[in-house]
Amino acid sequence: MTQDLAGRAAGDGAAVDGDRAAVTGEGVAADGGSVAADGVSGAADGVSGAADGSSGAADGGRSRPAGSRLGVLGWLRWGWRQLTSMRTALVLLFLLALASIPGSVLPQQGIDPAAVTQYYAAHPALAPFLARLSGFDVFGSPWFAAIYLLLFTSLAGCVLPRTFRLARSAGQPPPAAPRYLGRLPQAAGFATTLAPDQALESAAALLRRRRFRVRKGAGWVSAEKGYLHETGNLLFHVALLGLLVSVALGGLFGYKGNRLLVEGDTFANTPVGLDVFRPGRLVTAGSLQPFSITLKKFSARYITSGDQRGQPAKFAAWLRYNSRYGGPMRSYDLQVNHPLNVDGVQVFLIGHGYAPVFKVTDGTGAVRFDQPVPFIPVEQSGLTSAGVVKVPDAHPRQLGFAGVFLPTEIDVGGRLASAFPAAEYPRVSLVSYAGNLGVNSGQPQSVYSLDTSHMRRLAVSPRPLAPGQSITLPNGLGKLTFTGYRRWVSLAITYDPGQLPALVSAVAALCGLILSFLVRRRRMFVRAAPAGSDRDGAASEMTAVAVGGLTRSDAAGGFAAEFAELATEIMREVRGEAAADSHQPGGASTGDSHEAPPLAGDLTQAAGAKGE
Amino acid sequence: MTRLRSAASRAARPSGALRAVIAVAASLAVAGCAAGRIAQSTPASSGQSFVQGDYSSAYFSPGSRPKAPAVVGRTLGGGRLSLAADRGNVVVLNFWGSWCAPCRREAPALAALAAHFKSAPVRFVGDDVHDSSTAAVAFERTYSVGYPSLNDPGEQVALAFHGTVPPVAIPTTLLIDSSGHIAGRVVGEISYRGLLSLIDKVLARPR
Amino acid sequence: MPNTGLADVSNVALVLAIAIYAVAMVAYAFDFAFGKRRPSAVSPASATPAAAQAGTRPELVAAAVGSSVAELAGRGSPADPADLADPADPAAPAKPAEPAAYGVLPAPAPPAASPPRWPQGTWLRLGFLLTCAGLVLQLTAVATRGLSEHRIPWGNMYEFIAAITCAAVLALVFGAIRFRAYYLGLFVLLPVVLALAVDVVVIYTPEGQLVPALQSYWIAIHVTGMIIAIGAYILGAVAAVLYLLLARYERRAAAGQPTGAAGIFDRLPGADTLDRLSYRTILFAFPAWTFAVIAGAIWADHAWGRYWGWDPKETWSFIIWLVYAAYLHARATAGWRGRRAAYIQLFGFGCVLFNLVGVNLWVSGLHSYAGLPH
Repeated sequence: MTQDLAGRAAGDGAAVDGDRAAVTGEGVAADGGSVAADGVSGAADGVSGAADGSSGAADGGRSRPAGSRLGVLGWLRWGWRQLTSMRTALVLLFLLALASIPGSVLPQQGIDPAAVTQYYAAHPALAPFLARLSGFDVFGSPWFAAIYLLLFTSLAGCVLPRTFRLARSAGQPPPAAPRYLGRLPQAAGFATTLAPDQALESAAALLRRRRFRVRKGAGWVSAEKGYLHETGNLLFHVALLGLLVSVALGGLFGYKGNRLLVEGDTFANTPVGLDVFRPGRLVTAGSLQPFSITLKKFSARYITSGDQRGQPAKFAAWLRYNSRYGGPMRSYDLQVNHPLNVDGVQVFLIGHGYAPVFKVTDGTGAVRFDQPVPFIPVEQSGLTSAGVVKVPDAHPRQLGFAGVFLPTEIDVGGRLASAFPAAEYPRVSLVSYAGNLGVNSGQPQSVYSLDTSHMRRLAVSPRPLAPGQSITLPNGLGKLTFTGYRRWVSLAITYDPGQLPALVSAVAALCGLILSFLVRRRRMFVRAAPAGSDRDGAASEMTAVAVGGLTRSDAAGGFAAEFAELATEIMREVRGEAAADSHQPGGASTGDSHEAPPLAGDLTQAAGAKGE
Repeated sequence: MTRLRSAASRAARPSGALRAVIAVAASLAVAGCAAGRIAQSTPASSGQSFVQGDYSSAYFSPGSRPKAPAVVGRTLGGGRLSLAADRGNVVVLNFWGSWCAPCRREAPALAALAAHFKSAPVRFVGDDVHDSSTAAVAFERTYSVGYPSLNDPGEQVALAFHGTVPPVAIPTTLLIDSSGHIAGRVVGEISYRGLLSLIDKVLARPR
Repeated sequence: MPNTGLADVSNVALVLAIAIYAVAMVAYAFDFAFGKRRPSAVSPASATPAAAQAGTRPELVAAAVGSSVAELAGRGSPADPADLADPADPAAPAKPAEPAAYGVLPAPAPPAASPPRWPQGTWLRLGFLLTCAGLVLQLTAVATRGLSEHRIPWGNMYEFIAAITCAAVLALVFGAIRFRAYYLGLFVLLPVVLALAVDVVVIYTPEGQLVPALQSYWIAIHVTGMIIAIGAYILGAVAAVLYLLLARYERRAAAGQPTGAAGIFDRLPGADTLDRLSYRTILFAFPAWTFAVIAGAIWADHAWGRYWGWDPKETWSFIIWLVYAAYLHARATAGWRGRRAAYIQLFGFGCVLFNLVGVNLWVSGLHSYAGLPH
């Protein structure tokens, strides 16, 4: 069997001896890992795999004994190996990329529900079918989760064992030197007058100076460096696992909320006070941080001239807040890239608009409504905003109004529009309704839409109202006065306990990545023995020194040059010491400090000529 | 590479398998939370502008009732109201808004219950959140609400209940027993019978 | 208030840069047509398979040959168990090594002289000089644009494309000097010139302010990182395309089939060199992209309240990251190196292009800062 191994190993073009590989299996395996078929490590792969009896038989169908069957455990183990192989990781990475594509092209429910509704309207036949495939919630869908979970399982299954192996072998010395250094991808040899032990000591000293970890044996020296490569590689992959955990943390314990706040109003961070509340799986109302925020004033500045006229220049919201019920109030200037952080919760300014103030008197003459109503912008260039006023407690009839607020109203051929987003010429244009708003039935309604199915449109002259002007409703139903306007801001409240761990994991991943790219693992072997005889068969007193080099993967190239440099330095070091030694009184200097003696040099040219 | 792994995993088989189990278990746990949808307490269509809760009714037995905060505030009529001053009475605290459709539907039942318990040691108090006082007073007139409501546009009273049994949606009705401890909570629109029996229960076991 | 004078300078400088790049391309083409064949160029038809595999370094040739001879020497007595005894076993007697085996190893020699640092040949020198001159002009254009607007000059599509083409040429110059790859000039400048032409003619937006969402120092970190990474991706993609063409050419030449464009291919190094060059480019680009994505997540958290929201541009950045990660895994997987890995890389670059053009123009999201009128 050993002969078989040697032959096979040699046949693979690299040369690590069979038995030796079994003994040094740990050491080679520690760096072989999941890198495959790159010269030596690939062969070491094959060899140590063959040394492992059962899998040597099962793998690749090389020489599988007829009639052997894998039991359930065997199949599980085979499945696990397939899952944690590089090829599977490759396929899963691709699959995940492909699976993300529909999530970016189709509108997603969690990001833009309005766009989803539009898609349904535009593609009435296709949309339900896509919805059943989770096309509008790709990133929360089970099949997307399955892909990334498989990927992370594959990653964990590959990386965690290697991490433990690295931890165990971190302090271990390099493996023993192979017998025939000539089989390594990089090899060189020279002769020296120095005794073998001294030559090896000299080589070892040089390698130590080059920051190799050195181990000496009988007639050989083995050196290794670049351990940080594996550390960096594993740090990167483990950090990705940490990232996944952080995301899960946020999903379980974090929450998001939204609140639209008009100037002068206050809100408290409770489910009662939020417009939208999206808690993580394990979040309860009691786990919300109990802060309150008051919007004192909001201001927006726009570019008034030039090509970018009308584009926003700066927004600022002045807030007063406290972090618990009855606590001391603090001030904060909230801006778009400048969120408020209170108790670990972040409050962001994500939108703004106008809230015209209306006063509605009903048929009995009493004021039934007197408050600002947030209108939502329907276009950005002039901030034309649409909104709805509902007066459910007006008597004798409930009243409803729907229309637009125009910050800078202009008349474009009979149509109303707004020319500039600042309120330079604010006007409101409303359509009036009376009847049953539908709120008494208990069915929740959107505050931004008016259900006129049970209401009658009132005949009112359609002119836009300036601040202070009123609409008088017919039949003594009441009167609406547009008294002025205020600004509102839209706040996003987010709490994500996984945010900091995610950042730490991401940075660690980046560090690990850079480390693994910069550091290359290298092994150098030196053997020295008395030459015995030279090429011509005559007896020789010299020592033959062989140097071999091995790298884990040389995809980037460059190891050949590095090896050549190191080997030359070793030769110079050894010969230099030999020359120093031979400068003893009475000692004749041999041809050691010349270029390659005939022993090696001629044979190089001979070897080279033969190969040409 | 797979052959190498088998060599290594053979050498380290127990821990290799253990790692596998942990990894799979962890991934399943994550799948349980990540693969499903994040629970939302609002319907998908935005614009509701309030958080609606699924109906639930809870009663706390005397040993496990958290202490209610000492809430003081102004009523819609302008007067001053203190919950602590109601010590000795059962307080039914209802969080509502004039814009809130379920609150409008439960208003007649609440008014009727208030009338039912007029001569009992039960006080009904409202807390009007996220609302303007004009619209709230108009609501009170529409439904002939006979009990006072706190004017609470900034939800501060709701915030005061943080850490105890807070209101989690609009409407929410809290029951505070005569010793000032929270004895029950109804999330969502109340029913006459349901709230009646709950109040009776709290009256029966006051502390 | 933007400084229109400086903005005009920027526009003029950019147009001049395009013109100079075009002339540089002509010079490179002339080099291919009339330049002397350089010793570093390997003619695939005449190289031995071993030499072609090993690229062009002579010591590799010697080692490959030497080790095969050593194999012959080493196989002298495989059946002798003592030969294969484990030397680490202290109990085994120290056996004197076979001197003949060591004797056939080549002598250690300093690495063969790598190709000369500076370009050889008049036309190549001229082309490279013009490239550098054009790069200086383009950098000036970018800088004056930024100065005119008093902000970092990547706030809309026009400025962004100008920046990434600048990064691509910068990557070309850097890569050419570092990897002695001056022959890449023509192939990188071609897409750069085309992109700049489209940018200036169709996509041009006058100088102006940033929308408030972009007014943050993070733009200097996140977007700059993206630009540098994309510049490197462009270089990698060009090298990958060249690798595929060369590999095909070498395959057909080795099989004796008719090949086209032998004039150009003969002047390029072996396919293997280009493959390695493209790989080394991605070794830089991938961490740069990772950094830029992380910086973008941090900025998104500041601005929008969450560090990842599957916004289309975020999603495509993620897709690009995954595909290039797949490329790196492919390079380490048997059977996936070479052509398949190059295809993966090119698919990744296609995603980069889609992220730049498609997502900005056709998919709307929080990232819609193209500045183009709809």
